[in-house]
Amino acid sequence: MGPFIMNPEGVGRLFAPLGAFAEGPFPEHYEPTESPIENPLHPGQSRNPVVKRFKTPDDQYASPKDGYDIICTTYRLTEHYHYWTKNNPMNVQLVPEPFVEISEELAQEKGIRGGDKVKVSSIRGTYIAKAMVTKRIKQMIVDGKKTHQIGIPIHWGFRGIAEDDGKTALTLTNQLSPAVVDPNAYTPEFKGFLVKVEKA
Amino acid sequence: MSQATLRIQKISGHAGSVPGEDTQRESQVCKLVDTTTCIGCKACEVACMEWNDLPFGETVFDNSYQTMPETRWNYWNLILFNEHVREDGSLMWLMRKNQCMHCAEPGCLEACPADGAIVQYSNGIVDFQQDHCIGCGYCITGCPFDIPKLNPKTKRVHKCTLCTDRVSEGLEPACIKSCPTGCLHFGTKEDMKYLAEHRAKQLKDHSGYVNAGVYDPPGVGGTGVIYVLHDATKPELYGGLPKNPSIPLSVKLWKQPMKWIGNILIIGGIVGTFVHYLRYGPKIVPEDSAKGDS
Repeated sequence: MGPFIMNPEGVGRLFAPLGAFAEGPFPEHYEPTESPIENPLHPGQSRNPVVKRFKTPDDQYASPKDGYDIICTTYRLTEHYHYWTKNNPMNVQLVPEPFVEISEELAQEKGIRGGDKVKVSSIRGTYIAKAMVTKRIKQMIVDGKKTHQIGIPIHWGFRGIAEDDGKTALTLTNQLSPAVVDPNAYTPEFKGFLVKVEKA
Repeated sequence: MSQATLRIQKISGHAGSVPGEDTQRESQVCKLVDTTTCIGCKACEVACMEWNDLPFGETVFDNSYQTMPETRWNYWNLILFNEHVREDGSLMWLMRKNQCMHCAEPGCLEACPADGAIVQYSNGIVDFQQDHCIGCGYCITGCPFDIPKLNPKTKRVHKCTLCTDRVSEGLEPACIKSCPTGCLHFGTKEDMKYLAEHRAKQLKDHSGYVNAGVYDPPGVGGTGVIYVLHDATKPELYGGLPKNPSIPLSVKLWKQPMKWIGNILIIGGIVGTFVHYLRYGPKIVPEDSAKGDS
């Protein structure tokens, strides 16, 4: 008898309700639509085949072969709440301007110093902000290749205290990110896509 | 008549014990900042500004999450962010809430020449009284933590008050109330020291921080704000927290011996002049030199 004495077969069971997942009975790892590598588990089917995509001329996707080889992730800050608090002087005093977090290695490679303006571009659009050179983001080795990652807090846009003072380039993070949606949770793929970085 | 501040110790014709009898009242208050559980959310910065009604100021992006390089006359509470690479190559993002330390032997108070501009309350809070401040800025020289800041317009110096208005009513300071992680504690000095030592021991025994310890520097007689640090042997890593802070020698010399030597010299000069007058009389200008001038 196996350890799972409550089951007649004596072993554990995996419960996968039929039809709960769009791509099959079991969860599976797929690479994002824009990934620097092919899926190491099954390179023949690297991306999720049933992922939902918008189909307008603006919805294009790039690969490292097109020169977009840096992974970009987006996030929020504790000091701001989405796009509202850029109008509140207290929050703006805490974090006054948009910025892009880049590793020291990437900064050295591109000749960027902290506070310099950088232009981040994906195949869909561009984003201009000051660079925050930090030790907290490190160069990674992915599939044997040196890979850089950058991070962009999303909180700035067209109107706000910094925007109205002319301190920002009035570019949007959402211009960079792909409108690709997970078929199960409908979470958009804003945490991993490909960009290139240059000094603005 | 309110008797809220008076405590009963004997009651006539009363059977049983007296409520509150023999209560020990430890009056020294203390703020405990556990840097190991700070997440740098800046809630304490906002609470400080809101409660003390401080005006908003301009800030610029400075390649850091830190709100501004150092505290200002109208910004008393600032979290300092430092990226520290350890010897094994791993990274620590150190965050320390920086504000007035409320020293038991305050360098600012020692250096201040204005009567009543800086006071220390019996609960340990060091408070600036701007009405009596003459704007000389000597407190800035006297502070080993570089905390007091001059308002250039009004020529008055300001700093954290430890929310005297709240503490005197039995409340905790605004920053403590706002902390979401429990990194900030407030209570009696005795209790906070116990809590801090307990936490430092926990860090040593269970989290591998062998140098964890409490920062309560004896050079200024202990402080009304104490820190738990991952590495108490290197407080400088946390945005230049001095290892052995003390009142600057110049302030000590100036306020103690130099003051008396100066006084003796002044009185000596007056006495000497008087003795000279008695011995030699007034100075008489020779007549021929007066003629030569005309």
